[in-house]
Amino acid sequence: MKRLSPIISFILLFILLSVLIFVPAFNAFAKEIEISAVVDKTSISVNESIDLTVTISGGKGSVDVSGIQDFTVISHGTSTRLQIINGQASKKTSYNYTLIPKRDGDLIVPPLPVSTDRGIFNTKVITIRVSQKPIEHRGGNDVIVSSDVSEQNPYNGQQITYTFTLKNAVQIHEAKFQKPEFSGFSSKEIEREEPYRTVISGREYIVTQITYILVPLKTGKKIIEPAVIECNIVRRIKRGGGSSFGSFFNDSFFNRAGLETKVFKTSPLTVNVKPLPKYSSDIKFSGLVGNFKLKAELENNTLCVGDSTTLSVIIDGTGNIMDAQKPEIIIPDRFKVYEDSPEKNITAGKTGFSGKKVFRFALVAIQQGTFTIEPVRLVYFDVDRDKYKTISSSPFSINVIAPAKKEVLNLFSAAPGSLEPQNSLKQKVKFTGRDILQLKEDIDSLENKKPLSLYVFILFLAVPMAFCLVLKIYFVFMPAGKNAGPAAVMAKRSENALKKADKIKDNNVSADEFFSCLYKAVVFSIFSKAGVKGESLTYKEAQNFLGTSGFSDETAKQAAVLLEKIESARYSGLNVDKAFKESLLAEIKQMTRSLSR
Amino acid sequence: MTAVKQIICRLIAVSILMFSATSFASDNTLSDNTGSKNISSGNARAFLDGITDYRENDFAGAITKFSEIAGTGIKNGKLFYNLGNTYLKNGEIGYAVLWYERAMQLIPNDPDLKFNLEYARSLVKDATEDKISPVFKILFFWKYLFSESTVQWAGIVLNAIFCLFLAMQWRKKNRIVKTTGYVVLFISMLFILTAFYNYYEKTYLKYAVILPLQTSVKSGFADKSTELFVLHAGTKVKVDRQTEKFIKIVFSKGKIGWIKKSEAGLI
Repeated sequence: MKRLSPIISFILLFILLSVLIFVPAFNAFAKEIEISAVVDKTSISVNESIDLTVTISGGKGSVDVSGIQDFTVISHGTSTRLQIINGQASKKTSYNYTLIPKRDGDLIVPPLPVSTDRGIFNTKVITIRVSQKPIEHRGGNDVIVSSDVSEQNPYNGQQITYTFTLKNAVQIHEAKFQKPEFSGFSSKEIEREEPYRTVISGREYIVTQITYILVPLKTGKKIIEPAVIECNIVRRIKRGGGSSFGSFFNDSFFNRAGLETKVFKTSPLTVNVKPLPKYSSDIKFSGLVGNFKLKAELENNTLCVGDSTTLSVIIDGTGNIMDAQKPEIIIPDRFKVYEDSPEKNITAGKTGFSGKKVFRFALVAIQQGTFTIEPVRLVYFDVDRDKYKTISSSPFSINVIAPAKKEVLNLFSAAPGSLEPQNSLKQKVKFTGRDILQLKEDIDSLENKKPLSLYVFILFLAVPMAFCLVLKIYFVFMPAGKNAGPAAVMAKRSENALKKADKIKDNNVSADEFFSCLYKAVVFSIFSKAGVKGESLTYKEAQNFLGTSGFSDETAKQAAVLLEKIESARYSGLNVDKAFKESLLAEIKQMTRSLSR
Repeated sequence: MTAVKQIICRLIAVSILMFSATSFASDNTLSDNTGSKNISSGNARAFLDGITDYRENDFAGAITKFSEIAGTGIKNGKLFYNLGNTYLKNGEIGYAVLWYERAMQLIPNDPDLKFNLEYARSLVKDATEDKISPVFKILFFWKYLFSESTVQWAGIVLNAIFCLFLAMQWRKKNRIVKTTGYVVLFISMLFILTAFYNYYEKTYLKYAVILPLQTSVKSGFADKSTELFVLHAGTKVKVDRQTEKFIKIVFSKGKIGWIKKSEAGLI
């Protein structure tokens, strides 16, 4: 496959990323358009102003504010916000206005037509109360709390929901919620949902709800105490005042925020818990109140004597499902019954507790025949119909047959191609019995195999060493005789010549003899390596001999140079000093040593 | 001077030859003792009878036959293994472990022996408290891998090879021979030192196995001495000291005491 050039790859990557980023944004425009108009205050004095914001969600358009007659309208422009969260894009365009009242009284911001590419939409009417006297803004409607229950007259055991609602049009901090006691009820808080926004009378509020599931424990009139919330409200504190720069400093830029601690309480709620109607039937009441279904399942309808099957009874529905007890099941006495722990899957939601409870029974057949398991019945109180209801499952028929004969071990030969690895798990081989291994019956069991004694061991070690010692002595002390090889003879002669040179080096008279000895030492050493006998060598011959004896060219050349040096000193007729002799002797010794290695 | 040298050389050569002759003479004597073909017909008959008794579940009879053979001084790992088997079948766990341990010294790598000894140890009631470190066993693997005899002969043969290399080097210097010689020397030294350690261990580090089903380890010789702890048949202990009738044993670090000599079998 042909590879793309880096530039084309980069462009394609850029396009792909752009599509990934902007397609969700384009999708935003395809969504429905929502229009809202909110004000920051609904009660002001004639000297004050309010801020009006018209928001278009999911598109863009234009706002016609010409219909506002009771206020002087000052536009502050628009702001647009585009959000992409989890691939979901949302676009909001806000048109901001300041409204200054022209008179006092209940003034109206009429429905404002908003023209979009999907048509014209109108905002809702907003009523603003304008008074002559200055209004102390203590946050009357900034925070609203309320509570309610889903059912004020529940039956005993019927679950209801209690919802506390907090609506705040201003920013709040550090809210502390104190729930009611819920005396006479069992309570369970359900998972809180994310706060949402809503517009009430032209003001936008953030709504937070806390919901509890309550199950009455006793009949009678119950009072749910008020819920209390304490929070810090963020308020802007205006600066300036009487000075000539007051209006200048009244600008929001110079205002700072302050916290005001407030406590809000809901009204108490009264719940009248009714007793359940009188129950009279042969079937036992299960104690469940709500809406339920019953289902029973049997694993196998046919089984052998000794085999087991599982009967599952499932109670499913909304209500006090957690209180469900094992239903009465009539099982033929030809079965042994083993009960399993019930399995629960219950969730708490806005509709209360819902889920299912499964009861399992293992039935082991102990006699062959055909047996019937009667339908499982359950009576619960249906809160929708205000009466007891009986639900039941279908009956089951079980055919129990005689046990199969024990399997006969059959040997199979593997068919060609059937040797692929099987999916079965490999088993660890375990001992099925324990015993020792058999006797060793070889007759060599009677051979004495004891180890060597210490002395014999040392003797055996010493013998080869002794032979080595003898050999060494032989090499050291035995002279190179007539029968010795040429190499040994030449080596010995070289050694002797060197010793002699060492002796006469201080004798000035015998300089010629000294150089002769050195010459012999080198030449005999070379002959020794070549394994031949001889008396003299040319430089060239010496070099060739050493080369063929495995020495490096450099060593061979050095030996030749040395020979030349000796002969030059010997025949030049110059008077050589002692230092030169010693230096030359040292060189020759080193050479013969290196040749003897 | 040359004459003196020659006399010295010849004296050394003669002495070495005499020494060698003595060595071989000793070796010949040894081979008389250890000769594999010197199996007496009496021992062979007892051995076969012992096997027959074992097969017929007459373990007491088999013990008698095999013990007779062992009593003649034969040291053979297979014979000791058979004795271990016979004692185990006869329900004498202490003696079984003792003979298996003795066999381990001669044929430590025999798989049947390892299997049976492991089985016998599983029947021993006392848990072993001190064990040889596995690191030690890895570092000195040859000690645990080879029998005492194998270590000895490996040391002897490698030593001979090293001497041969040495002689070759003296005769004609050669780098390869020299390097190989060092390697052989190193390996031979390992085996020779191990063989000497084995001698030391056999002479000074003695082990024993508890023979009765249960024995009290006491603080002293007297019958009224305090019982320190109890050991059971088959438990291996280290022998610290011996007197005429008692031995001082070390079971583990801190568990030391005296038992009657008859209650333990020296491995």
